[in-house]
Amino acid sequence: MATWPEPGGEPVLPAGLVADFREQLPSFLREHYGKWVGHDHPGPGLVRHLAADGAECWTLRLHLPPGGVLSSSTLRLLARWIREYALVGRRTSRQGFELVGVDPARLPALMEEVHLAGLLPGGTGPTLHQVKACVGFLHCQNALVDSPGIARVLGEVLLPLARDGLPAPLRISVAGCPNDCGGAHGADLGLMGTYRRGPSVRLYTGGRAGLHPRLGWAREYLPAEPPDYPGVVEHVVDLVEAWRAGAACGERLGDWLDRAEEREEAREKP
Amino acid sequence: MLRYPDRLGEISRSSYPTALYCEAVTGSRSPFGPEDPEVILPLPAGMGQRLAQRSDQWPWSVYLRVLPPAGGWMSAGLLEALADLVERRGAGLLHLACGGTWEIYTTPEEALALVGELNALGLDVGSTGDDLRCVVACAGPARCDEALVDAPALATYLARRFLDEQQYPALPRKCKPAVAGCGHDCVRAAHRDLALIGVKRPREGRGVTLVVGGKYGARSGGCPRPARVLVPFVPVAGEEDYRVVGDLWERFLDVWSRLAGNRERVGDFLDRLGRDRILREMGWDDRGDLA
Repeated sequence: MATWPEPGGEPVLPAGLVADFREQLPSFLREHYGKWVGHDHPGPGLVRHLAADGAECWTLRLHLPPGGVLSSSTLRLLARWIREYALVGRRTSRQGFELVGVDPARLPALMEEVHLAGLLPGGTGPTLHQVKACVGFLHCQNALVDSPGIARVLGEVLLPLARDGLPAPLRISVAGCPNDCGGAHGADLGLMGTYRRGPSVRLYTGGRAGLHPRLGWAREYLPAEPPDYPGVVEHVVDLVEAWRAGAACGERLGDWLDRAEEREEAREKP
Repeated sequence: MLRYPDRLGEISRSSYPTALYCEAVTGSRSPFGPEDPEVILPLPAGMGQRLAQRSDQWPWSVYLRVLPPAGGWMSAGLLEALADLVERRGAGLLHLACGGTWEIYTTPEEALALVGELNALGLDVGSTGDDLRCVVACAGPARCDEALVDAPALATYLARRFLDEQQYPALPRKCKPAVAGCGHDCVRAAHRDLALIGVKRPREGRGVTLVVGGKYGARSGGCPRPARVLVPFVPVAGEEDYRVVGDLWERFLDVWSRLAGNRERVGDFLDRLGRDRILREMGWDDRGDLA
């Protein structure tokens, strides 16, 4: 039985504080607040924002370890990169990390450091975005499969496929159980832990948010066999390869799959 | 060969019991058991517990859920302060959770002192249980050229106004809010319970669409579903318009709290009552004003 330390003195209540994000912003971004007029992608993981006055803001986006669990040394490393090469950091809504306000002249040195640290620039434009996962077996009692492990394996096998570009952005999310904290329903390609003659994942495709939202379409069950998850890897790699070969430019994986299936159905009809 | 970043490297550089995790992966079974129902945590929200089945490896873990600055912005100083804090009083790990919060794993002995140190940094805990969860927002006009409304500023206003709702669980069920600056919806607002999406209309200018009822999970007989539009357009030209948006949230949370069934989530509530009935109960008339 767990015991909580004896309470002493004053009753504990929340302090009632809300941090103001503006305190995190460097003066350069405060001065250019709302003045950005466009952006482009000069390279993998890079976004260059342009302001009306000609100022540029370079962002380097990094893939983080799936699951979003960071050690204190990684936090310090990110902090040092911000101090030496950039102005501020940002955790993205996909559990990636952005170094914002990077000095383009110092970009090669920063890239070198990022590679040495085992992190990976990327996740912008039509390529593999951060593979997101819930915390899984790392800290959750509900997890049926180890979502961070599956996410990492997928990231690893898809990197070479995505290196030369994909038809459209590919967002993959892995959730450990049907509570779907990982957001399998919201990704281009989602995997959700389930139990079906052993630990399995169910594949979802075509989830998107925005003003015309839709949830991912439930598809096959795949066996989840740690640590390399061959059943999952084989199926996902085949699917992504077929998408890469067959999709029109800009066509998301879910849309392409819907179209391919419609064609298939039309062919079967006499 | 390019390697994808791995969580094993992170936990091996912390005091997390790596063996516990590796055994769990090999055996395809979570190392954590059910929560101890007899434990009453000292804070109403922002704190949870995990009991490891191998108590010799990790006796009892408490996690704190921190409400981060909107938009995900983190300065070098903040990252360093957090690194120092999780090392001294936690397991040495910071979890960037999918819902937009941070989680810190610690022990019952250190948990309250850790909350005190977070408070000293201007941060607070909340967002667990049946309450309003963390108000997430996209990067906003500080760096984005597509922003139609200042999502992180609006989210900060709403987080301040509805802070009690985030720290004292008193809603029918959890309610995950979000503010997206434009229709690209980087924060997936259209999949959350109570959300605003920036829009621009030809004659009316900039504003937000209030969408409600999105969810992923499949609990209590409900099923995953995207959010639906409750109020198509509320003009938001600047900070002076945030109050009306907050009033809308307040009315909605009121109606939901009053009329929801037992632990009925927003999406299921919307299905049962319908949009028109909810708007009528909220006192939102056809002209788009709050009665």
